[in-house]
Amino acid sequence: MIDHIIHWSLKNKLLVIGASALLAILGILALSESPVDALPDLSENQVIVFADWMGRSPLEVEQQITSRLSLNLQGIEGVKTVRGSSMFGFSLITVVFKDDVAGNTARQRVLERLSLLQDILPEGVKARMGPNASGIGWVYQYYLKIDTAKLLPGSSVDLGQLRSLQDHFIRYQLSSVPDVAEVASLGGFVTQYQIEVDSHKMKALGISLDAIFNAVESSNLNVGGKGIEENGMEFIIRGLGLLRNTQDIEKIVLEEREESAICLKDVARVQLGGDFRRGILDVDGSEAVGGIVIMRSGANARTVIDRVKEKITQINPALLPGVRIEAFYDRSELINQTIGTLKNALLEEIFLVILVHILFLFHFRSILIVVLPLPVSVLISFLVMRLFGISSNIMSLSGIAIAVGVLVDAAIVLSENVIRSCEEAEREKGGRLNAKETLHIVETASRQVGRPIFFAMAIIILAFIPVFALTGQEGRLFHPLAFTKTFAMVSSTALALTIVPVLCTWLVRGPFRTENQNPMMRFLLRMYDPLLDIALRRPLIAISAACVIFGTALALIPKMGSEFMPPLEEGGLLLMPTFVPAVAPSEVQRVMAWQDKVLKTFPEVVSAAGKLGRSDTATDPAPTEMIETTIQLKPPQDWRPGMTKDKLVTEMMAALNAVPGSIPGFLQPIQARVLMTSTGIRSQLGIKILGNNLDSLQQAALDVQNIVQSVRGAVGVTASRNQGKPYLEIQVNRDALRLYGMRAKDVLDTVEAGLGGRNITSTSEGRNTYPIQVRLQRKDREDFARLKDIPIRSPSGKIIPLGSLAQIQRHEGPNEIASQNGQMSSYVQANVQGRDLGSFVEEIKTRLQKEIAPQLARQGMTLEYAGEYENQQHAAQTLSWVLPSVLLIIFLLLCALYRNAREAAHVLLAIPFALSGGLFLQYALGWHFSVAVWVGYIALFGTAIQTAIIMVVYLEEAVKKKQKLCGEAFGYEDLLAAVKEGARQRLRPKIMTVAAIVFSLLPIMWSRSAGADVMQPIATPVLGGMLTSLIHILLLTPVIFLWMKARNLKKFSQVKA
Amino acid sequence: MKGFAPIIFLTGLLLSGSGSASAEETAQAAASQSEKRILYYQSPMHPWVKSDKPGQCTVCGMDLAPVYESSASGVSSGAGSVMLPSESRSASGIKVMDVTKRQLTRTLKVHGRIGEDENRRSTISSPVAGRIEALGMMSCEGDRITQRQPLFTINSPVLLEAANEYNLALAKGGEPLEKAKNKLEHYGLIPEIVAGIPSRQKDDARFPIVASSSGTITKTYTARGRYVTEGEKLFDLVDLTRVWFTFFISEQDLPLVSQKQIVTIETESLPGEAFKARISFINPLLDEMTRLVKVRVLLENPDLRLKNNIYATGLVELDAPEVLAVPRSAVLDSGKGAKVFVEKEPGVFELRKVQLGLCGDEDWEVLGGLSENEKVVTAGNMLLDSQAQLTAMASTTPGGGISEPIGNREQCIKYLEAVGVLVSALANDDLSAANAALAAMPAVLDELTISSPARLPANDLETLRKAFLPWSESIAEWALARKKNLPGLKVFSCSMTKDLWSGAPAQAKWIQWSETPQNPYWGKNMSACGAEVDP
Repeated sequence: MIDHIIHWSLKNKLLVIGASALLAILGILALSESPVDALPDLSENQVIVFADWMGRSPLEVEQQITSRLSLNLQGIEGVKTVRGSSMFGFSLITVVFKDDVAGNTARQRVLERLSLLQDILPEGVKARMGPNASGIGWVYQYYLKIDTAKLLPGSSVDLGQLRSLQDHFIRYQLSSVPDVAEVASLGGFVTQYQIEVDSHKMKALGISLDAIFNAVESSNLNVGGKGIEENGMEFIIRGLGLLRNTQDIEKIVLEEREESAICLKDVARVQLGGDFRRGILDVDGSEAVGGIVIMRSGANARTVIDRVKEKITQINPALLPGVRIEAFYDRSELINQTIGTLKNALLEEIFLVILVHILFLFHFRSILIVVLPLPVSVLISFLVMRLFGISSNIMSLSGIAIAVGVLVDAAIVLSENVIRSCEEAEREKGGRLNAKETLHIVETASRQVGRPIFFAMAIIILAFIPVFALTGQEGRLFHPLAFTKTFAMVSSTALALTIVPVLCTWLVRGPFRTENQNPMMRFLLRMYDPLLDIALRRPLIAISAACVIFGTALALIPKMGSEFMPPLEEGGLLLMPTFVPAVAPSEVQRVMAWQDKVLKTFPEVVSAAGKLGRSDTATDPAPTEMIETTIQLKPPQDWRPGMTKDKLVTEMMAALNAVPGSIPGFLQPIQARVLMTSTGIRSQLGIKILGNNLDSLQQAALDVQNIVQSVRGAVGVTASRNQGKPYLEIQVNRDALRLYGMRAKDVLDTVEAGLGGRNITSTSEGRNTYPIQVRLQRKDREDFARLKDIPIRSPSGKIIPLGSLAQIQRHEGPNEIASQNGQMSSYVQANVQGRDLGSFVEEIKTRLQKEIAPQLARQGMTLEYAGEYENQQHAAQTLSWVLPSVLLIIFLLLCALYRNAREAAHVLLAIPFALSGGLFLQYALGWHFSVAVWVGYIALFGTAIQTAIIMVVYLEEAVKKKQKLCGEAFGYEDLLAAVKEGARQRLRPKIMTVAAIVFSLLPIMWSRSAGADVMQPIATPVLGGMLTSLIHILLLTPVIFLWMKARNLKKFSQVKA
Repeated sequence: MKGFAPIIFLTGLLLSGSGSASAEETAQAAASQSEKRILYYQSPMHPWVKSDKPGQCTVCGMDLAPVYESSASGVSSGAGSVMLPSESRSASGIKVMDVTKRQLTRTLKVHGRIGEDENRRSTISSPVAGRIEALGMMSCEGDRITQRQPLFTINSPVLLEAANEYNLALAKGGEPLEKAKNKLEHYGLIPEIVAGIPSRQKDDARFPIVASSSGTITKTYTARGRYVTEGEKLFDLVDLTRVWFTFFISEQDLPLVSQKQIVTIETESLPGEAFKARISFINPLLDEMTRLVKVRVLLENPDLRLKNNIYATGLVELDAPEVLAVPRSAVLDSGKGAKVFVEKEPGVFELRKVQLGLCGDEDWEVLGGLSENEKVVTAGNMLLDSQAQLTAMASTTPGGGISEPIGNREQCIKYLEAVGVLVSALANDDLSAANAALAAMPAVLDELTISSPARLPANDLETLRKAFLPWSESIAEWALARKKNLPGLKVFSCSMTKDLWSGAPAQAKWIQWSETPQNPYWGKNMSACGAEVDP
């Protein structure tokens, strides 16, 4: 089959070349089109549904919106789980779909269901679907910078103006950029007309709040009077009565009295002011207005940012004079840097691979044989990536980067064999070969190694299959890498069997130099010979030395830590301190401004932009007690000498410690967004308690925590906490209401509209619309002690203070309510240490079932188990059949290759030896065990087997040759000589392949720029492992091979005897 | 070893080329640079998650942030107190104030109207029947007239007749003259006019009438040419040199307000000007319709700057008892009771629960929890509270490898030392010493909440060890969580305990105070079997 392919390719050279060129061109096109981002989107397959209900407490939002929506959204086809979160005035529901449901289908289904759900929500509340984006799509964030020098003389710009500029102009302009899902406004004030009524004047004049609402509402309208004709001319009639300014509003008539009517200004003050806000932006210590450009999921981040920036240059001059848009977060730099790093690494890799070739082969033309297919296979994998919709990001490009060394292996082995054969043929012939002879030799030589190459590559590809078995976030992170590596491997294998022989026929021309003429090879052979001699003469020493090395390596394992994933160095910082929920936004803002000012004094900092609370997007569920400060850093070369990021963070932390009340947590921008997006349980075991009473849920969580705590192996056991937000509860007194003949609404309207304010209508001034809000004046509502004095007018005209109608009391309640599938939930999280996860979970399940579940069930609570352990168990389950089957397939492939099970088995011995080198290097470089490192090991195993295969093929070949030569007289010494000969002669391709892999990984290892830190842990095991596996295949494989053959020989001779 | 040369060469190249190890080194360097000791690591978003080692939050996966001992926001081990260095005071906006005895000013804000003094109303009626011939210049609503100011001219035959009578009587003199003069004066003529009557034209029936009282005309009932009867009302007058400020208070405020209390009155028409006067009257009747009580203040208004019917606000100064008080801004109350922060010594703030009494405008009466001259924090206290809550959250979470504070240190260590004696007795297979150690064991502390095994003391070593194991396990767990606060204490574990007896766990822990392991389970058989447990 493989022989046929080689044969066919050599017959249709032009077709092969043409097809490859076509694929390469398509690859280039795909490369330019494929979406580029820094990291793959790690968010779950989810659709966000949200609803605003201004001013309502989390409890109301939970009862009347979140739970109702959650219950109804559950039934949608393909939904895995519905997670709800009820915040102050905001309900956020994350509908998590199974991974196999396409994003658009999921959105379509949610939309269909939502259209039916409008009736179940309270009046005025609209459930909406979040943008087709996640927090990870926050690619560009900006603020409006005021340049006081450029302001018009005598004018000033306030936050309200800036916000309306942002809301009514910039937002729409930037939203129009293709693939921008949403532009969220942040900070400043939403301007509104505020009618601040004086309750005492109202009392004195006998005016009720309702009267004011009605009056305002019916004073703001434009009407049309159809048309009228005059002398054959038609006129359109407009009736104009829209409110346009504060004076208009002041003149609104409330009630007609004898002398003159009472106007609004008699009882209220009308002013332009800022709306109640749950998000504040601060840049370098002063308040600012800004926006967040959110990219559609799956779009090309780099292009989107470029287009946004282009748009910004267009609209910048059209803003107010002295105001311009300034970025405080721009992901394009990171993208360009990481992609640049990878590109550089790829180029350096290719360069080094060429260098290896030059050093070892000393045949310049043949370099092209290896070098030409390499970019073609990379380009083909880009093409396939495009077809599969995989974006270019650090992970997918890493896949290619770590594969480069292996990609050329096949070509190296094949071309080396061709060159050697040609060299021998030439020596035999004693002159230059003609084209026909070359063609023949190429075909024979290609066929000779074609099968092993194919099998070796197949094994590398197969060995990587376990990476596809990763699920959850690891899966989302590493699947692109696995895909691209596999694509590249497949295409390079295909190319090695098609285009490489073709190129050989053209490029392999004499004169050839033998290995002995190559100084590099001479040097290596001189060193190799004595070592091989020792190993072959003293096999026990060699094998026990190997065992010792392997043992030492294994002993290192417990000394290394483990982590989920070394974070990508993003070149920026995100400070995320959180206060307790009770702290008021104004106080948090004060601290935030101070922090930003302090951060700005660091010479490494470009800007510090703090965000408190939420921006206007469903992708931002941050509470007001949490600050997220995006710190833009200068490029490291501009830092103070000797400054590192860790030092910088330590210094910043020390500086920020001066203000108490929060714990400064430093993250990186994308990392933080990933964190905010994933709402699931992160620990190994999560015990969810579902129920309908928050207090008992909290108690249950603490009880469960105590039980879990006592289970052996439990570490980091934590129960969720949901209380801590102060509430002022105004509870109507029914008896008092009866006494005065009032209904609850008469009182609570004052609470809602009087204290909170109610938007009655809105003005429309050009494109801008400003809401008109009625609210009690500040001094009436802001003094806790005087709230009870607020007069309330009963329908019959009685005036009763609030304190006589309701109890006002402080109370501590939930800050945010989490729910799952419509039921409120609390949870206990735990990790396990020093014990098997499965038995740990089982023990906890049994104990909880026995000790607490019945009691909880009586209170209507149920327990559910979730967490990483599901994933881990699932992964373990998958791996438990994937790994053996992969090994089995590899083994079968090897058997098929060697037609001998024992030989196949001994090739697998390359794995432990490669492992030890990986461990040594990992230990030396200080990497913890992480998924990335494991992926590196998985990649290593395939490669190690591959090199071993080639070695065995050569040894086998040498032995066969010798056997043929000696015939019956073939004895142990002959065998030894043959093995030695085989090992010696084929030193070049083996060192070349290993050197290609090693050198191809070096650029990754020495790169210091963004992105390298993610690839290094993957590359480390491969690099270390290749070095030791080189020793293994050069010294140990011959030893074992010899031993096996000797046994055969013995048996054979015994049988003969 | 020549063959390894290329490999060594490659490895060297690799190590010199890359420096991934540097991340860790710098982290260590940074850690050693800051001399402050790290107490524990806490999750920035979920402060109740904390650990002894750096790591990630179990809830959100964020890196745990170090909490330093006596750092800027360092928190001392005592619950509910926060320490701040002096330089961070201004950054945190902390302000303090003494708790003092002071007058608790409380004011009641009221809204009302300036109105006429109803005692100063008057009416001008026509003294005589006749026709109004002419009205004087000042005879319209709002005109201010003074007594004896000409008000109008009346054409009155009655008056003419009386004048004629006067003329006749003038000649006669005596009593009739007096009578006639009185009659004219009764009809509203002032003596000056009466005196001029003889010089008048005899048939002229028009007589000027002057104002009988001064005041401001609030209503005019007449017009020129109108025929009026005697006694008919012509003008309503009111004297506005003294006005009433009338306001309403609700039932609940009634007990606060009493006569003679001073009210400071401000009006929008005279901004910046305040009028002070006393409450003169509180209506004993409550208005059924509005449920309000009317209260009145007398205000002198000599130059009439306070206009009738204007709105005014008043601040009633309520009785101000002298009490121990703190500024209201010092009090934090989220519904779990009021608390304040007290600066115990410079930079050390202590959370204190307080009992509060009356609430004044600026201050709050303190009934308990504070004493005079203590310093309370009046600004930035919420930040301190947040810090205290964060610390509290970290210290109330049990387990999780946390270094927790120890309250009663001395007693705890005594107890743990006694346990150590028991351990070494068991390690030496010395039953009597073990039982003696048990007998000498101090009482169990509340803090430890670990009950001694019930089956102790025992008659043979195995029973003793069986009972000892779970107990030792829990003591070891407790100690592990507080290991940083227990210098010298070691926690060891043996992973070969499975074969001790049937059903024995595979691993067991114990505490001891010496360096070399003293295995209390295996005793002399394998006394040295054990490895120190790292918390």
